[in-house]
Amino acid sequence: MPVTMRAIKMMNIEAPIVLKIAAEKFPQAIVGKIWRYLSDRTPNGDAGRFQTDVDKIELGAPAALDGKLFLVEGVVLHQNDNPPTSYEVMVTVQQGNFILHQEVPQEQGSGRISNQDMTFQYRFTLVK
Amino acid sequence: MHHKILFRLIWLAAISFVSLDAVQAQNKDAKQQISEFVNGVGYGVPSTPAFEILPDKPSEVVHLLTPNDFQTTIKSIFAGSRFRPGFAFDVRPLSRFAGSLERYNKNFISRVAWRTVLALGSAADPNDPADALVSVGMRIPLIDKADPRTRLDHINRLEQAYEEVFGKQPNFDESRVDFEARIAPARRRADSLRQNFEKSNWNAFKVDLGFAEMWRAKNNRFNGNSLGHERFGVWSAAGFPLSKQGQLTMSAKLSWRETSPFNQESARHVAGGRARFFWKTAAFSVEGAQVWSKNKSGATSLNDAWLHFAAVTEFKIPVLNSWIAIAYGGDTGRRAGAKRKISLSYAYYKNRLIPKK
Repeated sequence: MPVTMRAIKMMNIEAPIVLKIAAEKFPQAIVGKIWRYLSDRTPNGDAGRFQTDVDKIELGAPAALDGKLFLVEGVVLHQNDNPPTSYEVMVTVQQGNFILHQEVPQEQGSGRISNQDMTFQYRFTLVK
Repeated sequence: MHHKILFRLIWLAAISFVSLDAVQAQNKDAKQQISEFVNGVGYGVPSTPAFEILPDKPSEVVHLLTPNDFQTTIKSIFAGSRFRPGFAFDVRPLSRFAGSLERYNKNFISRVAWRTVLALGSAADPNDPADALVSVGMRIPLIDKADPRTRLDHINRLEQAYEEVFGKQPNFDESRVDFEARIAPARRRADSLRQNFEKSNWNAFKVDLGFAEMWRAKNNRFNGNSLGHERFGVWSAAGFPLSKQGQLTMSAKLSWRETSPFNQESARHVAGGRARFFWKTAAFSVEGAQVWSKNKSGATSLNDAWLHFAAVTEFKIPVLNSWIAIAYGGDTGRRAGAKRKISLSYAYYKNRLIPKK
């Protein structure tokens, strides 16, 4: 299956880029990591960690992020729900207070959960 | 001479066989009686009240979550103006109001909305196959101190279980299959934490409500003229911890039967409590309940009320890999029925009889 990546255009202002990853619609716990890559996909380090009560991660100043790629890997933690419950993870890319992009990851960003932790992935690049 | 010895041997073998058979039959009866002491009166709210009052519990339940699930299920139930009996589904009808985990932990209404489960089921009437019985019910867990969502220390431990697998940066194009394989050890660690959490919170304070109503659908039709009220039940229960090993359950159940045959029970109400203690190789259960049985025929002399009492203790015999139980109990003040006397019994068996639930 081909990897999908979202290209998100930054605004021409100095405000830092902030990534918010949260399960706001349903009471689910999440945990995960954000990885940064150069434009040729070379690993460029850890961009931050998120969990249920730490859902905002500052990625940095726009000038330093131009052309960088980001991979979000996360897990929705199950609570042995019977009957199963719904989950939905929303990824929001902000610059200051402006929302640049918001979406539910296509790769298992929403669905049903019962007695197995569910994984999700999301890829994006930031461009000026 | 040889004939005499042979005859004696055959006679002894026959006596031994008959005696062993009699002992086994007696033990089977005693085991059944003890099992009835332990399970005869339910002290909790059924996990799905709607299915509890159906004559046959459905073997397969469809869990509805999305509008698409509803659409598909409704289509599969109906064939023209009639429906196919045997369907069963459940849904959390108020889950959309729950909100985030933060809101869930701050707001009582949010927690109740999330936990509430509505179920609908049907079964063919065993006495009249032309009709179907349809039941709808709801279970409302009001308080649940064993709810893992409310225990942020537990949630943090689950999050920490994934710390290690997020330590090494993967390829940007890592497939989901590879990602899943990478986190497999963390999944196992998290599941082990959940098992420990369940073990240590099995008897936490809980308050549950439940109700169910059942109708008869003439000729499997849902319209107003074809539906007749059949049964209604209300359950309430509260569970309290008694040290780490024990649990006290207090409960009340009210049930009515609208179309009971003449001179048969039309309502039964039960109120009582049960305490149970569990150790590795032993368990003890004591329970008492007042039961009221009403008769709609107008003959109040048929109404009955009795006190149910049972005390059961069971021990493991490791050498035999079996359990032995001693029980004392029965119903006092009951006019009819085989269980009307208090009695003492004992039995041995393979698997423990007192369930931890």
